[in-house]
Amino acid sequence: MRWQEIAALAALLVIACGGGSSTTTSSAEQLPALKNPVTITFWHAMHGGSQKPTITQLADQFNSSQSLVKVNLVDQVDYPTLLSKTVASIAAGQPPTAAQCYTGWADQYNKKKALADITQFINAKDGFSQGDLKDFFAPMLNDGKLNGKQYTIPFNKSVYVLYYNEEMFKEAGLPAPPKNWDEFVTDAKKLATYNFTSPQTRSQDGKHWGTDFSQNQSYENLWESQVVENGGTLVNGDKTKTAFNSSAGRQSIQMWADLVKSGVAHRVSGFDDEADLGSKHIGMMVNTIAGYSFVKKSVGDGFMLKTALVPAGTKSQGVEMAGTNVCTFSKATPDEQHGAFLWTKFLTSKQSTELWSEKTGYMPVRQSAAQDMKTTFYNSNPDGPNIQTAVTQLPRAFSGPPLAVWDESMSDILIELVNIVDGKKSDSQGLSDAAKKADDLLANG
Amino acid sequence: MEPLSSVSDRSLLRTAARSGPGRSAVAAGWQGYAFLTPALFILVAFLLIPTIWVFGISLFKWDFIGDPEFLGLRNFVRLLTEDELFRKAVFQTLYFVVGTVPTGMALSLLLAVLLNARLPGRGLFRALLFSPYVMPVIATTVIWQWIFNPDYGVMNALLNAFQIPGVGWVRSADWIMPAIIIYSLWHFTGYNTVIFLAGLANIPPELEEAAHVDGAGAWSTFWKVTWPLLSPTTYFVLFISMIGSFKVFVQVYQFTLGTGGPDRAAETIGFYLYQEAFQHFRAGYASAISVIFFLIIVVVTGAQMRFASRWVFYR
Repeated sequence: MRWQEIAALAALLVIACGGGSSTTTSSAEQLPALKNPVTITFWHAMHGGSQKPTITQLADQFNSSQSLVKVNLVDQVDYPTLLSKTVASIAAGQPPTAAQCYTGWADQYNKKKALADITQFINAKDGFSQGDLKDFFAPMLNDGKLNGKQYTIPFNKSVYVLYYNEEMFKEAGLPAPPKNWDEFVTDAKKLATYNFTSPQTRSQDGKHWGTDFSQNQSYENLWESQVVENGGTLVNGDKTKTAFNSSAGRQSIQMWADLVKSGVAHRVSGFDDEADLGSKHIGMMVNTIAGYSFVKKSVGDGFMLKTALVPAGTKSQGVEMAGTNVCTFSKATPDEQHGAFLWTKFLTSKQSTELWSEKTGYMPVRQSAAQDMKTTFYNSNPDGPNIQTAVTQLPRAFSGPPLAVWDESMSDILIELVNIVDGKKSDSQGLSDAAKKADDLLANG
Repeated sequence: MEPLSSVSDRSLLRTAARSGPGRSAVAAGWQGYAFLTPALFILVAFLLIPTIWVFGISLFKWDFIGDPEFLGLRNFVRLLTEDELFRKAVFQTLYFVVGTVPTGMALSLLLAVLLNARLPGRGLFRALLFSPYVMPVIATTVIWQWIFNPDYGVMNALLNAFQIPGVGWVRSADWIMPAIIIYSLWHFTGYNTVIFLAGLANIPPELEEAAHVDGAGAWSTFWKVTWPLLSPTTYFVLFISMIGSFKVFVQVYQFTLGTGGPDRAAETIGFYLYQEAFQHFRAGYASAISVIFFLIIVVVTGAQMRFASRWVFYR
């Protein structure tokens, strides 16, 4: 293992020395529409469920609808692979023309001047109209900004929703899903202790819990949302120091620790929560809408799967937005960058974002699409109402700290959250240890 | 790499040393180098130069993309004096090595001795035992994750059948390393067994027969005749098992789903190195870990070689 790592490191170093510089053009005048045909590559991680067939369908549509830009999709399987390959490709001076990226990643790329300035393409003759820009959901478009400037365009955005087994709720005498976290705790206890009997509610081995807590980054993101809902903040105003080791932070994780300790919540890892819901081992879970097609697959025809808004905290209701945007890289020629923009424009058009949302569960990025889907999808398709839940809570969605180091902090925080939930550390000790690591990262990178 | 050839290599070397290079050998020298060139090129380009680079990069702060910033020995100072996670990774790597090497060797030796006997179906057992080794770790770890599932897994069901309460395995900070050790034993015991079998086959049966004629039982024949004669093989197995165990990575990545496990209880040096380099893009710091890791392995293998002469017996 070691020497391969060394070889890779050295190869990167050698190639990095030959890396070139940015070739963007900037002009105060409006850029004319793209004239020269270009071929572009788009790296993505839309691999599982219905994601890959749908993005392939969109690329085929784009390629056959015009002859100026040909997009080649490259499937990088998952986000960690996409990130490491993108960083390696930037180091090698051969990044793709465009790729999916989180805002934190974009911040990291931009610090190395690897991102293209897409403002000129947004304003070009074949760019976005004012109407287009207003049509994007504002929280999503803002998520693509770095220091106030639009560097990326939102593509596959998601928020957390509450997934629940409606039959279990009914049988246990719960008329509606929980509206706030206090109700969530009460309902989870009821679900955990109720003796279910019907085929839609009883698991094969008879074991069941109210809900799950998984060692999975999603649960760290959920905790971040809860901190804000309970009146706390994650970082201070100038984003130089963490602020989550507060009563809101402690209260948010202590709730999960108590649920696990009392046997009401099942402590699992990875995506076991989806399997637990599908096999009727739990009655509800909070997870991202991006996983809808996976959860649906796990549930099958087992029971009626429903979604609801994420429970509210003591101060507000709201969720952190997840999912990525499209980054365009500065290494490409201006025409290729322009071509990548036209692909992005197509990918985020009303028709495309509608198709994408209906097939995968991700939210549409345009308000007109969401409006349209009310008549075409949300009210007529069996999955429509479930997917609409995400859009319903979008006005109260917010973005996590747009910092390159936040990704790493999140995995450190998750380790400590799990320590608290597993009873290995007290809430204040765990959060103080997490804050120490995150503060060190914020200070030193 | 096979132990038997290493024994004969030694005798070859001895013969060569005695006779010395002849006139024809010198004349043929350039041809030898010509044949070596492709292999040498690969070794130099992909092993020697990168190794030297890593030593160089370890003195810098570098994220692969930007300009490296010279730090001197600061990466090493931080690594050795401040970094608790590195200390934890070193401890856990040693835990893994101690958990796998002696047990794995004892188990494979026992199996080899049993399979060396003339039993019906011996060939089938040998093939079955070797099969885990030829299956990709990435695939078998997925199956073993299910075996170790605390709720629905076979392992806890088996324990329960013997009235032993199940444990948390991959979800528990205390049990994730034992789970990885058990998996690893399953994975490479077959390989070591085959090496031991080859070593056993190389022991002349007349020596064991002579011991038998002299009245030695099976137990003393094994310890007085077989074990000393097997020592070059044992040494080889120890050597490669140690190095293999020190650099454990794939099973850690898979069993912890890339997180290092609950409370990072399965974080090993190799995994930490990977995280720093390819998840957090700290090439300089990761290289410093590499250098220290390299030194640890040098010291351990050096000690093995130093003490080998005391117990390894070449016939």
